Amino acid sequence: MKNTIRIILLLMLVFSVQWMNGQTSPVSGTVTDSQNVPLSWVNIVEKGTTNGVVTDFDGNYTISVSGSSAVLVFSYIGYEEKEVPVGSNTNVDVSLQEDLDALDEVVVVGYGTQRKQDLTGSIVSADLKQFQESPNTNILQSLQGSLPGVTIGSTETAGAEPNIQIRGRSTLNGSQDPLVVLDGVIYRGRLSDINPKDIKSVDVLKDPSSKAIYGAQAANGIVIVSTKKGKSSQKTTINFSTYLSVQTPTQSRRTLNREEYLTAARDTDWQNGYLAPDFTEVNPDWTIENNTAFFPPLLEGLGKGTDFNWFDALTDPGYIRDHQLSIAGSSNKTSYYISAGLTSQEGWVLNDNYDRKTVRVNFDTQLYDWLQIGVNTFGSFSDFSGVSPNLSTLPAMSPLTQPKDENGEYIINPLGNSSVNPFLQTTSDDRDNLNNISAIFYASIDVPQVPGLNFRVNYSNNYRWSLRGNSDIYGAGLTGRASKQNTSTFDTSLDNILTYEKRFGTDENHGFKATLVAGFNTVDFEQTRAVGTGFSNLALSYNSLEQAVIQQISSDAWTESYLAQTGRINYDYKRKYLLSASLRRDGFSGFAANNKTSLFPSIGLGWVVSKENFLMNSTFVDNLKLRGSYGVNGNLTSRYSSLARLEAPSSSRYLFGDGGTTINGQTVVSLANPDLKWERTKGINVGVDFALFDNKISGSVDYYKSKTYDLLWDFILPEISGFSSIRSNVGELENSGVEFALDFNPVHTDHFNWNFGVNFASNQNKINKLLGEDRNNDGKEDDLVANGLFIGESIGAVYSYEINGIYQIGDTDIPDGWVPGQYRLKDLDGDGAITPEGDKKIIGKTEPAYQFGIKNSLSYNNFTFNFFISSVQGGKNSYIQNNDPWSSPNFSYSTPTLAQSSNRFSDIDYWTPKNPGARFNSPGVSTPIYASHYRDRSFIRLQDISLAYNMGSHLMEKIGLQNIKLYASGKNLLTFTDWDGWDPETGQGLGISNSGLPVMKSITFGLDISF
Amino acid sequence: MKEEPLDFFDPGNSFVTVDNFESSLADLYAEKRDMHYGYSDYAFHLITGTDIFFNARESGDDSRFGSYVSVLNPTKGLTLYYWTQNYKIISNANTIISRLAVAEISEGDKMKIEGEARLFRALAYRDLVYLYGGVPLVIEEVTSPKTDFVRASKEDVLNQIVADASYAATNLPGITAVQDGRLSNLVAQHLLAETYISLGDYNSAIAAASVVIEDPNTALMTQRFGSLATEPGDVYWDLFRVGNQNRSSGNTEALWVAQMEVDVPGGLLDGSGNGGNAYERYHVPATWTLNDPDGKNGFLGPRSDDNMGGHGVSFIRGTPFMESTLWQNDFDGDMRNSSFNFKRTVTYDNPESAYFGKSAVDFPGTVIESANWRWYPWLTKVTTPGQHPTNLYIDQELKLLSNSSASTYRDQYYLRLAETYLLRAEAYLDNGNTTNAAADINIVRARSLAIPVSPGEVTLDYILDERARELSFEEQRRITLQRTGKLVERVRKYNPWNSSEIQDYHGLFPIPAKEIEANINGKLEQNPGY
Repeated sequence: MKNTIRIILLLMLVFSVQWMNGQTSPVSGTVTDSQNVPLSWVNIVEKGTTNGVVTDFDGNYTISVSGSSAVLVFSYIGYEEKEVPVGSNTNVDVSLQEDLDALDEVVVVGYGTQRKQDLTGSIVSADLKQFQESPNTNILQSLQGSLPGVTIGSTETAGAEPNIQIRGRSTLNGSQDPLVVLDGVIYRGRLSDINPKDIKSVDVLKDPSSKAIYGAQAANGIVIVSTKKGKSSQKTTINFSTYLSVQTPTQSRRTLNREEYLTAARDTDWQNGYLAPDFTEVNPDWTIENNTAFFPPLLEGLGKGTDFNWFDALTDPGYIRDHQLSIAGSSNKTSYYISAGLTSQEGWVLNDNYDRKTVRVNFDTQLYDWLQIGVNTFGSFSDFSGVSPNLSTLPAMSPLTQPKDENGEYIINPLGNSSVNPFLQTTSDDRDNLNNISAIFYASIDVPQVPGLNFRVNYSNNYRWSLRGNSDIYGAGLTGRASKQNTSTFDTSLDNILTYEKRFGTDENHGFKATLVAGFNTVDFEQTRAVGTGFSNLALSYNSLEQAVIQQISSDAWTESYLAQTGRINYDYKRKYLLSASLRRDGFSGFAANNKTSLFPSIGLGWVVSKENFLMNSTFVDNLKLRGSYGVNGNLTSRYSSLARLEAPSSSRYLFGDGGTTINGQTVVSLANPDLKWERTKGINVGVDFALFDNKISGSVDYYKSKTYDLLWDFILPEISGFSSIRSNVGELENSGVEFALDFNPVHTDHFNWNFGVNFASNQNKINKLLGEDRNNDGKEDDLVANGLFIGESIGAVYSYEINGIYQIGDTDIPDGWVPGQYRLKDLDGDGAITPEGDKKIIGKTEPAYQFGIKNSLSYNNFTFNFFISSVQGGKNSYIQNNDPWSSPNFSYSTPTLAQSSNRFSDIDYWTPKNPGARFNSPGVSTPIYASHYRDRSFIRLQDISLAYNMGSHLMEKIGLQNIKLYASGKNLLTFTDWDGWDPETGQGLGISNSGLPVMKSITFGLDISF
Repeated sequence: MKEEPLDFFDPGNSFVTVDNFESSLADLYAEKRDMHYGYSDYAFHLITGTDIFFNARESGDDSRFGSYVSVLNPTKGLTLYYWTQNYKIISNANTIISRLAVAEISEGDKMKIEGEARLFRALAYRDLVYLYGGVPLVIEEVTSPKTDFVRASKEDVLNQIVADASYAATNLPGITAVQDGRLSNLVAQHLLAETYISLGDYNSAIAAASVVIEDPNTALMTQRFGSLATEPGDVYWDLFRVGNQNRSSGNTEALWVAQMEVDVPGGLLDGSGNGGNAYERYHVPATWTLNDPDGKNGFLGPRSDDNMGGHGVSFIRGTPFMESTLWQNDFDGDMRNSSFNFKRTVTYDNPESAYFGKSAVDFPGTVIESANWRWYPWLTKVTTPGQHPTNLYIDQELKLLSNSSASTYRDQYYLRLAETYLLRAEAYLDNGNTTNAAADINIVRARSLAIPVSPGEVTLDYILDERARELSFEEQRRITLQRTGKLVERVRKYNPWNSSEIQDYHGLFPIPAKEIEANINGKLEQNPGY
């Protein structure tokens, strides 16, 4: 991880400028490392001024200094800073010593920073450079697969926010989202709203002790995002970057064409479409006209020879265009970073659009020696306007029909049934804006009388609001429908942070740091919505809803508040023995009256073995550290979940008599649970960090184990009680795992540098305890079958029937209700019938067995070649997911009519008499027990590959530029998997669903200019 | 840190005023209506797959009750649907009753509110007991999680219905004193009559039914009335025209009517989409999909006329028994089989067809010949020709309907006096008095000008036949058949699609598997056979 920090800071330094500005004494020279290898991009500043340059590719520099008293400061990340008085020299050659201990490497921890070397927990820093050439519109995409223990999902739609999970799932129903801390303050908005180009670093706190500083919200891990700042003593750097990315699906799938579709209709009705007894010979008496439920439009298309590809008509290659401009710099006391970004993405499906404008101003100034104030502020304005076609019907549209009639008008119900033309909604006038503005003000006071004592206040306000409007002339059964919705969330927080840091004793052997924090956070939500139907004129779209005959309004609101006090102590002896301990007290309004607050302690220990005498002079061990920690974290439930709710939904309304007046109904919808408690996770982490052979090999290995108690769970109740479930605390679950990250730097020469690394993570999830009762007296605790929870199994345990092939024609053992072509379920209890009590078993789990990433970076002179391979693996029976071609949340081939007349994708291997060995059953048949296939999602993916060219700095100097970089990159170009359907990583399978979108692969071309 | 809900109510202080309780009652009315007429396939599963209706498409899929073996599996949604919906009504009624005890409102209001709540509870247990047998009895508000339910005996459940219905019969106002659509004491009496039959107390059953029948404010409709009284038709047809169900239309036969309005909040029906009460869509055949013998479109499209009957999609078809056997005795005389009420012909209406104006039954095209489900005789009581809501018309002049036309756009009878007569006939029959049984049946038959039945012909099967003639699409046929223990027998006898696969144990629904699993501290015995 050392390299990571170097790289990030290096990125910052390359912004330095190197032009002359009217000073008189020129000084030049060469900067090399201890092995006499020239160092490029070394920052050289005349001390006490902002006059500075950087070295070129050959390590050469020229700077004009104010006179012979000038002192030059040479700095380069990973090397010790050096100050050299110029005197009368015109040539100053400097050799920088590599900073093997990397004392300056810091990571951001909760409410402060810490030297990486002093950490006792497990914190990983993202290697943002590795992915800088990828068309990632969200910072999380640049973390995907590269951080061990951090699982980030793929996205399908433009501008979507990926899922993130850290070290497995530690909760059943509690929040599963990690806490995001942006520039020191808890951030609850979308990470997509943060321009990835503005981000300097991402650190992820994974172990219970590091997380414990965030107490009640810490259990799912902490993602700390820090944005760029201007650096003091830095020349202004203007950076412009742009890229264009073209996207197509990783899987190419198509729907059946006319001929295939007509065959499928016969196959679906195989009992009549083919001749007994084998059903392989076509029944000549069977025709589409006479034997299917095709409605007139289909029959008409049949006669006309129509063969229309609906799927093709609504999909096109997508693209992303991205432009970024940033200015970073400083004057004596003030530094700034200003940026503007424009991202526009057009998805593969029509109207899947995303436009984002971002602006950021980060500013700080040293008002007095003891007082620094600053503000980090940004605005993000996203536009998702446009409605995509209805993907839950689109692939099912018959090729015998067309979207438009002879006159070019859209046909409302092209199939002749109630299925609406998926084109219609794309024509609606749609507005969908998400906006986010945020300002974090801070003041930092170094108390003059007490060296080492600092008081800092962070005051943050974040306002997020969305405006939605839609007007559809085809809506509400062609009477016209328009709606408008305004939503806003206001998030305020205040943290008071007191820090005292001092080294004392002989040789300053004792290091001591204490941090105290007190703060609060409130979130307020508002929503207003109006819907109108029945418009005689929709020309005013959604802006004059009073034109509607039927008008409906609704509004919602909620509020929640958090209160926290935290203390932390860090102590070290000779930076060799490390101790860290913290305690947090948290309060959250969303918990039941008796359990509003709780305490979250932690402790961590570290031993830097390589500082011991016996290793001090080792030739091959550069660093070796052992560390271990323990901590308690909490997890929130959603607000109001302990209260009983009485609602007045529109479905509870009634009226009496013809023309009667509406009476609002009210109904109790949930039970109160006054004893609802925090969900608590206690865990340990042990790890080792090492660097060997002159830092050619470095890495870390971590083992962790955590147990979560009082799990928040929507406990399933018998409906007899009038309620489906109640939010409660039950049982205990456990996560344990191993992670490692290895970095290799085998070749490091003047012209050629080669880095590669592997990361690996494996997490095991296990339910240890549920209700702790053994009612069936079998000597072990009972499972909660209705809840799908099983002792000793993971949360993702799949409890289902075992499919044992498919019933074939001629099989004599087909039970009542089943027919050939349907799955043969195993009669596990051998009672001759398939029942949920006797024949379900745990057939696997949805969680992966392990995942790994391989990164590689080669640079030769001005060229850099990177690639990254990501893989998630299921092993024998893990990482499985339901893959049912016929039944998805939004579309099902449940009846013979639907099964015959609905189109389907061409890659579904389903049963017909001619295809007895098929993987999937034939559609349109109901069986007494419904079971579907679970399939392995394992994959290996070439996630990123890029080639970049940095133009030589000699040339740059002549035209006054600092750097020009040209690059080409590919994303998701290759995926190896046995999964059927759209994508293993998203779990989108063969079936048709509303969210059934493929993951995109893309080719990107980019340009990056600094001057 | 105290948590104040902003957009939902606190149950602790929402049962204070009469208005609060009125809101809770409104919810019960809405839930009951939703269960039977909401936009769920399950809503018509108490009607189809019986002796009189079956899946017109002749397929085994669950969504149209294609197969008993499949759809009545304990893991399937249907059995959970009626279980959940009814227990939610029971739960909400229990909450009303327990909160009422401490509410500071007048005793008169209390008795009326409690009467309504208890009658809803009784009606819910009535559905449950006939569908599932003895079920857990919950008559107190549940305020904390409960997972130790056990099944009560069928008799205990029936006695609870009697207790609740008796309270309602005493404390609810008479039928003229309540708003249209509200429960009156007569509904309670009718329910009492039915329940006493199940308990074998036939005298009490007769007495309760007689209260309803002898009430001076109730009478069968025998003269033309209502919104289309001057149009060609008959009085049975009038009963099912738009606006003719409530007492305000002059209808004295209705005992309890599910209220529906189009595009009014709380009115269930949606003029622009799938609102519910979809009998028209499901029963009326998809006539508009037929071609003529030349292969051309024989029809202009779905139309709001009595040739087409609206936008049908052919899901629920009458069994041959319903379509013909049932009427054989008095095919031409029985008003309920008149050409106004039972459509047995259809005429090509596409002027471009060479067969325009000719009968599609006499001159069939290829489509109907190969797929006879696309047209079949149908009952006009589920549709409202010429009375569809205005915005459903694509072409007002031709009365062409848009695809959004999905419902029977009128109120629906929960209970009609004709049923009380047939119920009392059943009680008389059980009591051995076939003369009075025949007399009651004949009152119903007389209104339809049908040949009277003689006492010797009266059997339970005859009464069930008469109910089929009179009450199709009104009574929940499956409940009637399960109540009388006749389901399996009559399905085997009359339902050509399901007869071969229905099993003896299908006379009761299974207890939902999910409930057995979730009820971890008690044991819910599964019904035999499942």
